[in-house]
Amino acid sequence: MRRLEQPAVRPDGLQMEDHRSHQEKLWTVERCAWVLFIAITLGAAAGITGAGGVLSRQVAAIDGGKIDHPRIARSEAADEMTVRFAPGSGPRTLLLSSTFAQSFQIESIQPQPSRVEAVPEGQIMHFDAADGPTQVVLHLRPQHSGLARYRASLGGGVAEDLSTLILP
Amino acid sequence: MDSVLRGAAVYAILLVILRLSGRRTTAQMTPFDLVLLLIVAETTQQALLGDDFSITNAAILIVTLFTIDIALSYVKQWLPRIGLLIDGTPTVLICDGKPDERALARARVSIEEVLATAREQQGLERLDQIKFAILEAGSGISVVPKR
Repeated sequence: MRRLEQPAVRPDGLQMEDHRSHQEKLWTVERCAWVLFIAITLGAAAGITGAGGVLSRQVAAIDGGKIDHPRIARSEAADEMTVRFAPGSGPRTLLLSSTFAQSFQIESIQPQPSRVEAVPEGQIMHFDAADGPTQVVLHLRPQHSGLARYRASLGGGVAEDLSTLILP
Repeated sequence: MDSVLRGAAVYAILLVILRLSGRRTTAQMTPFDLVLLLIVAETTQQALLGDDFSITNAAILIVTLFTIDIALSYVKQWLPRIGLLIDGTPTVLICDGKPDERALARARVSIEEVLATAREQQGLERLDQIKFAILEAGSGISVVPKR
């Protein structure tokens, strides 16, 4: 029945409902949205949506070195984690908790660990080069969106809580 | 389930962004706008398909998109306010020969565009020959000449 209803004839003779007040509100909303578009573009360039940018990464200084990991990542998009062992910090081992493996697929590790050991907390990667590598890069692919919480430790030191927000 | 969610999410995102961008009609499109549209289509393709290039996934996505579109057309019919929000509303740009400067500015339509449409549609030569110019919700500018 609604389709048969006719719009009212305006005083100027035009049979049309232009809903001017609604249109005025919509124009205002549009302009607010454009400001939001600019903010999203600048924010994305800064890294708030992951995949590069200053804000997309964070460096955790933990016992035995530093772990540069994504603060914000995207599901199914390639990312990386860089582990820097402190000079002379003992055995070059990296422990990643089992929750890490639930959230990230490790595509490759440079350099390759000489041995990977499964332990109740997760997995320990042993890097036993002659003088020990100072930097290890893990190429990752986040698997599920959401907040990924995991623990990591270097050289058998105290494990630290790390987190990455994985966007869909 | 993933395909349906992806389809619904991409449909909603495109609907909101295109609506809020204020680009209301294809009649206002420049050749560069057309190129932008092709880039948008290419960009959304990846988000829609993910890493599943099977015919099943493509069929599910097509059915999902059409289903949402049909459902939305019913929602717009049952709830006219939603229809107004999604489709917009016609805006009178020239009323009884007088240009509505605010409407022209807010809709980002110039007098030159109205004159070009008047020439194309009605063969009119001057602004004073136009009685009404209306920015339609979905089909560009329409011009009613003075008799």
